[in-house]
Amino acid sequence: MFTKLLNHEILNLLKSRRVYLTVIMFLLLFTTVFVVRVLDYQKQVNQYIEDVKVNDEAMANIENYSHITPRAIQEPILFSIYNEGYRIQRVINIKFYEAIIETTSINAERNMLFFPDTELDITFLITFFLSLFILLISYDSVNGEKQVGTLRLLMTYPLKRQSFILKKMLGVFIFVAFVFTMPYFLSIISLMVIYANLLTINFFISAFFYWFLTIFFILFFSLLGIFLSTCSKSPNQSLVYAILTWMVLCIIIPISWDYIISPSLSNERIHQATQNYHTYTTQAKRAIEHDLPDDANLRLVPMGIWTSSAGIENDGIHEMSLWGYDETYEQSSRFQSHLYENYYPLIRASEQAYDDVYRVRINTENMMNRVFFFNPIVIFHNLSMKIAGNSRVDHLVFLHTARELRDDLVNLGATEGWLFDYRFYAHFKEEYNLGSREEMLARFDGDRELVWEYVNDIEENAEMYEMEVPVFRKYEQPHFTLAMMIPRIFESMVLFVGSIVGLWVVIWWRFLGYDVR
Amino acid sequence: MNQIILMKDIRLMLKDLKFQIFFLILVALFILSAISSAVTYQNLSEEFQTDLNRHNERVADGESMQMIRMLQGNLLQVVSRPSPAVLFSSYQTYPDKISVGILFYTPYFDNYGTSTREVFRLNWYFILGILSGFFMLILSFEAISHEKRAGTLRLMSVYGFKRQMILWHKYISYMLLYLIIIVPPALVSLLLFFAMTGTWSMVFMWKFLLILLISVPFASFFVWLGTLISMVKNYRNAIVMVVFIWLFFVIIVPQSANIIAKQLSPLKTSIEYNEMWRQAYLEEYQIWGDEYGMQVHSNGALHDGIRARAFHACDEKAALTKLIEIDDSDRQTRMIQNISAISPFVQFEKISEVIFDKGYYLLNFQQETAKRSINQITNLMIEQDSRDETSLHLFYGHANSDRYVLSELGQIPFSEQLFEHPELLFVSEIETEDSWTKAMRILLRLLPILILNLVLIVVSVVRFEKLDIR
Repeated sequence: MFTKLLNHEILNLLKSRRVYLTVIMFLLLFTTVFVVRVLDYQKQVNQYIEDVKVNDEAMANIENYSHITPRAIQEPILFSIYNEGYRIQRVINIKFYEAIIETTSINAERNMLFFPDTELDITFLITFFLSLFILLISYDSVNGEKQVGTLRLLMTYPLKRQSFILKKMLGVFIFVAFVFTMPYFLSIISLMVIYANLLTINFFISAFFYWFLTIFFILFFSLLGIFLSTCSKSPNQSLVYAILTWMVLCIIIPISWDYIISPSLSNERIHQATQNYHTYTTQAKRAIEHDLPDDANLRLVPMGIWTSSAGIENDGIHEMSLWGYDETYEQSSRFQSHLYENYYPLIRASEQAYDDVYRVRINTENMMNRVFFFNPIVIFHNLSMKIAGNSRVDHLVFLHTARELRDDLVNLGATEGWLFDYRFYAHFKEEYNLGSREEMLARFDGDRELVWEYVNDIEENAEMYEMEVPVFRKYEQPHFTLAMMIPRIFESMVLFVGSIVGLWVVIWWRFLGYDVR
Repeated sequence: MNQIILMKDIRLMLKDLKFQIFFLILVALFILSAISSAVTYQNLSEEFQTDLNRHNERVADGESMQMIRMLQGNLLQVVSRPSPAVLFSSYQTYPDKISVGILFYTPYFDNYGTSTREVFRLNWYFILGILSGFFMLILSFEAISHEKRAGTLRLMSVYGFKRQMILWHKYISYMLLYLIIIVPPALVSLLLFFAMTGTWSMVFMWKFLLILLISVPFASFFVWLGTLISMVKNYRNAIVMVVFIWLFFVIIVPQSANIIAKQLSPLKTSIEYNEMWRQAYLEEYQIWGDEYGMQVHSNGALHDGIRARAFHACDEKAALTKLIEIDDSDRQTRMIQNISAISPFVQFEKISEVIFDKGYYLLNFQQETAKRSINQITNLMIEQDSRDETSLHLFYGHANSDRYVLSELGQIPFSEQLFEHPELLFVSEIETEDSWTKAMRILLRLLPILILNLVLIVVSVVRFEKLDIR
């Protein structure tokens, strides 16, 4: 009897023109969004290839140790086609003494005058539209039958009420799950064909958990639609309830959180963390401006023979090349030691302070999940980012990894010694060193023009410094495993499943006392 | 008799649960939009204030305003001051901040509030432009089918009411309802926003009222659409059609416009544009180098001005490539706009840009203002520099770096005096068009939606005349 009813329910849905239109619409939207995202992803891949090329070229042309400025370039995540997540640029420039707090891009195709507000993704499609579609399919599932009299008829048969409501729920759920699963798996297969060489285990893990999550989402909304249809006598009334509920879950709750609750919870802490960050950056700036001892101040050594800027500008340390007098080398060496001992720790502290801003935001996001455990849209948004691997936490991990690479490099320089000696900013071979400035002036009887001519002559003929590139660790994209995924999503999934069970119990209880006349 | 039908329609609709719930939703959304926009406004104001403070610090520090230093870096800022318009829309699709150097127009475009981008923001545009159309569709998709089902349509026909009259009364009732559910909560939202931000302004009050008025033809379009749909046989299927039409205009058209325009009018990558810039610079440098040799290559010969002229020419050539980049972006942007203009929602936002002096409409005037400011500042600097006897009067970007070469001779390439008009470097008042021209622009934007209304009226009337009302 139950199987018959279930088949009947699904066949009914298949025959309904309303459902038919809904499915067409969903498929159309899915295809549109998928194509947009694939085109976008392809662009990102092209840029990534170009970025890697630029980085490799730069690393192949380094002339001294200060030129070792590798980049951590994040490969575009294939699963971002489904969930764009926390949007960032994908390149971090790793420089010896520069704070790593944000990402940048090398080779972006960017419209200077048009900053699109949103890039649609499948997650938005699911949370915003699929939820609405499920409610539009199921809002009259019980009271619709009551209106035409079939519910009363069914209740005269030896059929338990629980079985009836279960088959209603299963009918909608199986149907929508199929409607989602079909294009979803087709899209996954098409990606496997198009991007066969970019597939990683991450993609398959993400794809599976995302599908699993969406199935739970569909289950929740199927239950919700049925619950709403038991809340009013007429389908028209439940339609209004459905739209109202959808608006509250989809629009009012997230917006109230973003603009009213979240700022009141986190603004003060973010402000405090930002202040701490500014305190450290100000101290760091002082360390290379006001607190710089004279014997380490590069501005106090002869400038004319520097092939680039003096190395310090208002906003930090600049790249430079070095060749000149002994005094210049010695001053440079002391400057490097000063940076390592006084500036570098402050930079690292400023990074820690900046991370606190991220941490406050991450905590607020997690808190939203707990407060609105009954809202599948909030939970879906949060979980889908964790599943795709492009959440704010992943961004922080990316920054941390880049900092580790930089720290390794700095420590390598300190251990091998090149961080503090002439090799760091070397321009010509050491044998072309000019010697002491005083000696040089004495040699030409204090005639600066003659010194200048001599220096120019050497500069034209001197051989360039040839360095041996040290072996240093390069950026590798992290891969998460199944064992890593489960702790990431466990808490939210438990909340989600809990809210589904709760809703099912409420429907069960409500339908037992439902007036079927 | 007409009055009786109208009153009947209005009373019925007022009693309708759909109407009551939508009204409550709109009240909640309008209030939330005022609160969220007030938060956004305060954040934007803080960012604006930071920019202003930075400018004031530069003016006060005694170095940045030295004219020789002003020749490098993007010192001129032309910004759109945050205004209550944020209650209507964040207008973050287009830049509202231009930083530019004094020598040439090589702007850097930026936006206030870029750190907080969401899929959608709760503001009047979301409510009036996107949701209210949906609500009017949902309210009106049963306009005829309900009467037909209840048999009242047949009854009215027996009483001798003309079909057209029935249709028009339905329409007028819905439009009155629209005003009832929109105007009071909108006014509450506006007053709440003004109270929270302390930005009370009669000018903006009128502007917001004008926006409410302009939203009427857009709502009317959806009412006619809903009415037309309500004439189909299965009205429950119609709701899906309704949602589809809404989604088509809200999502599919703007998103497709974005993709199609990017394919039809692609941009170069940043590396390619940088390469163009570099090539243009080097080619010009080569030409000057070939002609003047060491007078250009060396940094010792500054007095004759040839080196300065050469560098100025190089910078000018490079700046022209920046204009190509802007033109490419502008062409793509226009294409996106033209394609997305099919959607009435997009048209509505474009009209608001004209009313509030924001978005792409403002951007053009902002760029013009920046170019005018550059000319004005340049003339004033050259005039002030001509009074400085220590200056060689060499107006070029490398002047500051070259001054060390001349330091021992007591001369400088360009004056080190403080610029006498630092207030010109921060522009937040941007002049746009007069009211008449704006009105014409708005009318032109409104024309398509008015024509669509007319078409729907004709189709609805013809269809209703032929409708089997049994």
